[in-house]
Amino acid sequence: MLLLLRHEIRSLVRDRRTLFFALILPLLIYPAIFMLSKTSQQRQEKRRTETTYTYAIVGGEADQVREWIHLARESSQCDQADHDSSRNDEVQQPERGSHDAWRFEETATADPRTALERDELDFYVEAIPASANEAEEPSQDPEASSPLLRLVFRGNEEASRDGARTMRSALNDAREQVRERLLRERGLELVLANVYPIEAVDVASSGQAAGSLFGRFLTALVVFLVLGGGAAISADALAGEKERGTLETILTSAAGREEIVAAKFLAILGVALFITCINVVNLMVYVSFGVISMPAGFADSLPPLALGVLVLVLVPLAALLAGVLLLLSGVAKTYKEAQLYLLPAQLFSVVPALAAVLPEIQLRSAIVVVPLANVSVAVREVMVGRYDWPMLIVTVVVTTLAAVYVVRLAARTLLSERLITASERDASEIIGGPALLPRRFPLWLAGTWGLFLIVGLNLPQTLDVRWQVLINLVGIFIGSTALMVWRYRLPIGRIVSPNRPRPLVWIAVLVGAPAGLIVVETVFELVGVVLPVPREWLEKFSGLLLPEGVPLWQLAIMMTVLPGIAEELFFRGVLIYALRGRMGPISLCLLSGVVFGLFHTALWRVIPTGTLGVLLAGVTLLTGSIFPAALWHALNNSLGLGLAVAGIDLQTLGWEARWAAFLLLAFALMVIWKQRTLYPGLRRARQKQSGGGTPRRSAWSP
Amino acid sequence: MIEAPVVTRALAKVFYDEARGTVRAVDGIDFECRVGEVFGLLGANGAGKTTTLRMLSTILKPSAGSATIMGHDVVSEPERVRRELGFYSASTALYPRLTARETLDFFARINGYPTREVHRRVEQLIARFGIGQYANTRVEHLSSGMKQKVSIARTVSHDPPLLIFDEPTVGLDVLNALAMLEVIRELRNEGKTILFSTHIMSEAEKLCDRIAVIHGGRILAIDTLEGHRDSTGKHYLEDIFVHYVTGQDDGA
Repeated sequence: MLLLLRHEIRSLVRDRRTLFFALILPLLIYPAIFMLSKTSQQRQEKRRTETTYTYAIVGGEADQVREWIHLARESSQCDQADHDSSRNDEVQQPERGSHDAWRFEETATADPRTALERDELDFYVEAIPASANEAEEPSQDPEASSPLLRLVFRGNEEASRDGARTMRSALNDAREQVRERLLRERGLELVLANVYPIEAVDVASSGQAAGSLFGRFLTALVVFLVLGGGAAISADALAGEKERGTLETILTSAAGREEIVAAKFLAILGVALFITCINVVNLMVYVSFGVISMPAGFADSLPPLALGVLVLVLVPLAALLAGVLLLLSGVAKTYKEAQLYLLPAQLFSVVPALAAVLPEIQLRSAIVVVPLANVSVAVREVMVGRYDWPMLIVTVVVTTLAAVYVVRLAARTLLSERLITASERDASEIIGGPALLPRRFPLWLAGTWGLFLIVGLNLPQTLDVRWQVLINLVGIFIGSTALMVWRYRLPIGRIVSPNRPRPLVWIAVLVGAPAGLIVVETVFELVGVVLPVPREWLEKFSGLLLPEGVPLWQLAIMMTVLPGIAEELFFRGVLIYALRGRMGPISLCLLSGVVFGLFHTALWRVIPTGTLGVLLAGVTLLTGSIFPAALWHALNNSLGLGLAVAGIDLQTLGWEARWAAFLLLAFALMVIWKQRTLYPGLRRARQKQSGGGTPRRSAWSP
Repeated sequence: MIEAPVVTRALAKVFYDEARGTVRAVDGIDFECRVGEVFGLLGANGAGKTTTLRMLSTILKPSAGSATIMGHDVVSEPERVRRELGFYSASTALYPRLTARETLDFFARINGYPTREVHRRVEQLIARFGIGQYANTRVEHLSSGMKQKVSIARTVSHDPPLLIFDEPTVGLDVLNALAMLEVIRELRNEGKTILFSTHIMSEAEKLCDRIAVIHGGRILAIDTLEGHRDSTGKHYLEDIFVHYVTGQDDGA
């Protein structure tokens, strides 16, 4: 593999086009963007301070308005003088007098609106007489009556906008003075600024404040840099080889497919990381020379510990992105096609990478299992000095697993015969039907999960629990199952119960379900040692389980019968049917459990519910039917509901009872094993049927 | 008894094509290739030659049947199989950014040639194929004739006992095509077993020790040229080929 890796790197280094676009161009472009932005800001600022704004005064009370503007000018000069003296105690600036701050020039015009539109004016002040202003509610105090000053400007013109804003601010200051004067004249010695003064004190360190700002965008920046850095080499990695015809050459060599993919993956990852580092160092160099300025506290937001944790979190992210790049290259037929995929990939990746921008998202939530989004939130938390170690570990594990999965997908594109024989396509792609389901099922699963989350987040909290259950169970689970059955012409009988379970199985289920409930509760207790669940969460959950005003019989149907049917149909029925030929039985059980757990979105429920999911998948595989698992599921929920109604808390159970439940569960499972009528078409079973001996695992095996 | 370098048993490959539906590109073929011979697969375009050779070189997976290369199963031991063969076709291109020398070095190593002897082997190949003058030139700068030589040298870089040539003269001018046939003949004389596919009758006539006529994914006959002449009563290979193919079509 090292030989292949060296070969990839050597080919890359010799490609001037790749070197230029991946390395040299970003080195020049990024600083150029920053410099351009800085220069633009400086010019804007300079123009703002040097422009003299022209304005006109219209209306019948122009003299009064002029008086106000005179006051505003004086107020502005005082402010400017204070500001200058506080800032420049030591540095004299004789050429710039305080009067320079006032840059307004009145001009006369007959038609101010036209003049404004012709750009002859920056804005005009219209004085509307008090009588018009007070038509409905006339003031009793003639001195307090004053015209309404209306500043008319053009928001699409920078000078007009700035001039009007500055004038408005100055007029507001003048108004304060007038108000204070009027109050003084009426015997009230009152300084308005002293009435309920407000002071805000930020106790966050400058590092935390900077970290909070940068932490939100750092992941998106890394995503952008890694995808940009790895793009050129990844496009060449598989798509380029297909186009040149060298892929067939390397595929007929003794190098293993896995070695080829691993070498290409490592090359993309290495180059992407290298280019990202080069760009970061490059930016730092420009920062150190003052070409680019960073806000105060940026350096403090990255102490060594934070830096180390960020590396640990961001390297798996880079691996995931490198895998995505390799996958896109594998899917594309030409170099150009691979490059075309880059923009959508960047957009799709940047969106979850900006999860940290959303308010109130914490790492200790379902977000921790969403690749990219979890890293985004983790980075923000680390940069403000919050280290939730268990969640950080989960983030790293999830991202690493996602990277492995994506690389495996990329490897499969290399195994596809379509790479070599472009006109020949796999049967299922053409014919459709059940054979296509295994390929499409991950997408259906992801889509259903996304829908489940969106619906869950948008359902009003006040919606009747019965509607919530109906929408989730019937609408989503049964709905998506029905759609898959229709789309792929699936045999519903084969999904539900390919075998007829033996009678003893039902008795074992009756014994196993209560025991399983206690075992799952024990798992919850054990998980709670590592991830303690706040009491209020549990109370909220109990409240959801027993909503007020819902008859018990309805609850029983909603919480026990419906989940037994709908969830088993989806998580055991269609899932196992779709993936039975692609995964071994143990992997299937684990996957079914994990997916089942993830659909119960509260993080603290994932592992216990996942355990129940594994048990139910095991029962389905052993019996070749979802009916025993459906009964088990319904019983489990019924017992849970019954205990909640009776006010019995399983947490009070002693360890003896828990051990007894564990043994009872083992016994029930043993009975089911003895009475097994195995799910047909499982991978391992099929291999045995095909003649035993060494399983025919080859480079083609998925 | 030494096992034949190439053995196929009821080897088949089924494709699904959008336009044509199910296509049996190779429909259960049986043949054995003997040590040190040039075995020719003679067939028209679309007869199943390339698909057969791609299955033997483990690029494609057989839909049914079995095949062994030097005793190794093409499905269960693909990497061992590839180590034992060198595959050449018009679609096996060279890496443009490697020099000719680096190409030979890379493929010798990747195909498991003993590391210590790679350097000597590469120099030997450079001398043998007369590519010394441009050994350090990148492949992207070579002419097509030069590339052809490097490509053949790449195919034999790890000194495999079996060489597969899939229509090696496609796209070559007459002189380069003749040179290619001459190289194959030399390799046969050095003791290599050669599996050779072509649709050009004269090439098969000149080069092959035995010729299998393949049509519609099936092998219609396998024999020496003399054997084919005897069994068909025809002298020219073109007539022999037409005899088999029309007989097959008539019978179908």
